[in-house]
Amino acid sequence: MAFSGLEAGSLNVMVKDGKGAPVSDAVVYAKSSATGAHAGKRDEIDQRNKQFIPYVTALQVGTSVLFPNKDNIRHHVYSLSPAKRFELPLYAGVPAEPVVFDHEGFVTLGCNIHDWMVAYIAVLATPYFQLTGRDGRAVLKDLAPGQYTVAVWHPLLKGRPEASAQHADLRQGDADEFLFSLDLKPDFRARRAPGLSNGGYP
Amino acid sequence: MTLLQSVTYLVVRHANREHALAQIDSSLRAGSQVFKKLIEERNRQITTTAAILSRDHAFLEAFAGADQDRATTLSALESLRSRINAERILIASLDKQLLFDTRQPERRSVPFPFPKLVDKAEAGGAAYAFVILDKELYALAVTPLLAPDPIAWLCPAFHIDDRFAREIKAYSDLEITFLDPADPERLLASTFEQEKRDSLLSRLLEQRLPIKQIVDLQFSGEHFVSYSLPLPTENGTAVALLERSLDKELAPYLRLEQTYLFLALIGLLISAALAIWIARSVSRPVLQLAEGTRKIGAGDYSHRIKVRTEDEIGLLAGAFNHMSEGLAERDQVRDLLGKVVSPAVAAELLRKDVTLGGEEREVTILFSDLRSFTSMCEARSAQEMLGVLNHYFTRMSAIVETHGGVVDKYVGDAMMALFGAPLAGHDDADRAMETALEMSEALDELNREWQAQGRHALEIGIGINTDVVVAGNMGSQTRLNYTVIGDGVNLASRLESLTKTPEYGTRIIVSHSTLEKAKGRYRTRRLGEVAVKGKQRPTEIYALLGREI
Repeated sequence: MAFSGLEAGSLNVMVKDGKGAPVSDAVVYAKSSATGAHAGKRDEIDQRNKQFIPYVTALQVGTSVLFPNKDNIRHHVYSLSPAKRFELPLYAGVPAEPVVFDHEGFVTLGCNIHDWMVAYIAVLATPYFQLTGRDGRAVLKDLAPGQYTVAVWHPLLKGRPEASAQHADLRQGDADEFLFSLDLKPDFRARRAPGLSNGGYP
Repeated sequence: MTLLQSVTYLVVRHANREHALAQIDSSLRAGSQVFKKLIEERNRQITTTAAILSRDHAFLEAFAGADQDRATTLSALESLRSRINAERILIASLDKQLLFDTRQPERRSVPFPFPKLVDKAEAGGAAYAFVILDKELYALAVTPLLAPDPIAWLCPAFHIDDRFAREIKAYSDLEITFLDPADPERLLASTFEQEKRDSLLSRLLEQRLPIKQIVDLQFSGEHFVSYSLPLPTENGTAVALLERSLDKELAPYLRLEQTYLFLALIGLLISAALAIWIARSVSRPVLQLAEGTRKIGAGDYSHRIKVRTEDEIGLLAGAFNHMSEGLAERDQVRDLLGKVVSPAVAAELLRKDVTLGGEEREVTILFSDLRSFTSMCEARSAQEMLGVLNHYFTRMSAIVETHGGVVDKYVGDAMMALFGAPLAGHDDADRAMETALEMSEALDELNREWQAQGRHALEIGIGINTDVVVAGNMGSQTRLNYTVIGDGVNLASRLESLTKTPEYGTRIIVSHSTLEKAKGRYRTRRLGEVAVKGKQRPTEIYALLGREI
């Protein structure tokens, strides 16, 4: 395929863990010198059945996020992450004001009264991002021709994503598939309260 | 030996069992102390945990905040519950009403089942106890929810379940079963697997266990030493049954026993084999010795025993062989001696030490001599004459021996025989005279034979005298003869010579002393007197003609 000039390109990325298994919910993103702008977009993260949905959200810097509580109990959403500190004290229904994520970084959400509720937001300085599916694959589409830094972030990633970033040259159209092999931490999230299902022991 | 080993085995076995039982007893008692401590420690710990939990501000806000709702509080309680791994959390109001029970969310506004525990918590700031709730055993902590004054009682309940029992077992090394005597149809919790539980349960339905006593309990085909410890609860008394498997505990002792048994058997086999071997190695040579002795008894001196051991038996066998050799040698000597000297002399020589010297004894001496043998020898070969002489002597000496006489010596054609030496007889004189008469008769027979062969007839002269003479071994240290010497011997010789006197006309001349000793009666004829050297009176002599019929 011989492209030149202004045709958009795409990036195929495969993410695996240290054992070679595909990693889902990994945020794949491509940055360049031209991708820093604020988006002013809107997004939502639900609380349903005492869980945040989705588990991982990727968004562009400047996005306003609503946290609608779709349970019939109240939740207390908070973040202590440097990229965005906020607190929505015990509430039911949809909060009046969205939360604006205006700094690049990674945010961990929790619920003050439900230990097992946790979710992550990747606040990115680029519009080019995608979450990997169960097969560990993500495709970034419609990238303007140019040179990019491709990186992958995951809630369990050890270290910073820049450490494993790769260079992608999309001036001549599509690049080859990028393979990321992530070093992941063991998952020690508080388990969802199991109710009466297994005798009270995790 | 076998008996000793059996007794030792039984004693060791008994001692082992006693020791094991004592050990189990004491370890069970020690284990029950550990158990009590662990339980106490854990209850204290959960109370501390509950106290920390009760200060969770987020929960307090959900529970007591402005717009509280039951569902939010329950879900927040679930979060707390899972945080501390409690089975359920109850909340009691200050007026001892049940507000929440995570296990039964619908249950509310009923009296809190353990009001006394709340009283205790009010008094001491916190309390804990075992409780039976919904037929299950729990460790329940009661701690106030502070805002900052108490607004309710937070009561985490920790299930005393199999997992808990197993945890305690890991520390105390005891099998643990929790029971509610008020609910005997089931076990509350146990470290046993299902099959043993069922077995134990049915065993317990049959047998009521005394509290705080060590009891031997058998179920599931296994022996257990059991100790039941009462576990006071807020609403009754549960029982913790602490157990140790007697069989498992005894296993090392059983192994020891088996090892001992095995070693004892091996020892027994070895000693039996050794005993058989020793018996054989002793009895075989002994049997050989017995056989050898039997053969020697039968006169077979050539028999030798083949035993080459170094022990006493070997020495005995060597001595035996030596003895056979000695006997064989002696036999040979005796044979030869019998040929050279008369058998009686030979026996006498063998019986005593052969030493020079003699003894005085009364002996009847017989001298015989062939007449005109020299003339018979003329014109005959010496070999032929020797044959004739040997034939004659063989015959004559046989007669002497037949009558118990001893041929003392041969001198040319003369023969000297003794009666009464070396062994004295009571009728020596009679036997000497009988011999003389038979010799005379034998000569007649020989003469007939010789004449038939064309030879000359021969004549014989015999003199017999009885006297006390010296009998013994005479000669040199290295070569000696048994013989007699004395005047009596010379007289006998002289009497023999006198038979040549034609006037006497007799073959046999006997001295008066011989006739005097004789007990038989003989036909004699007095010939006269002869002077005898060494005697003052002359001796009367007689011709012996025959036996008195």
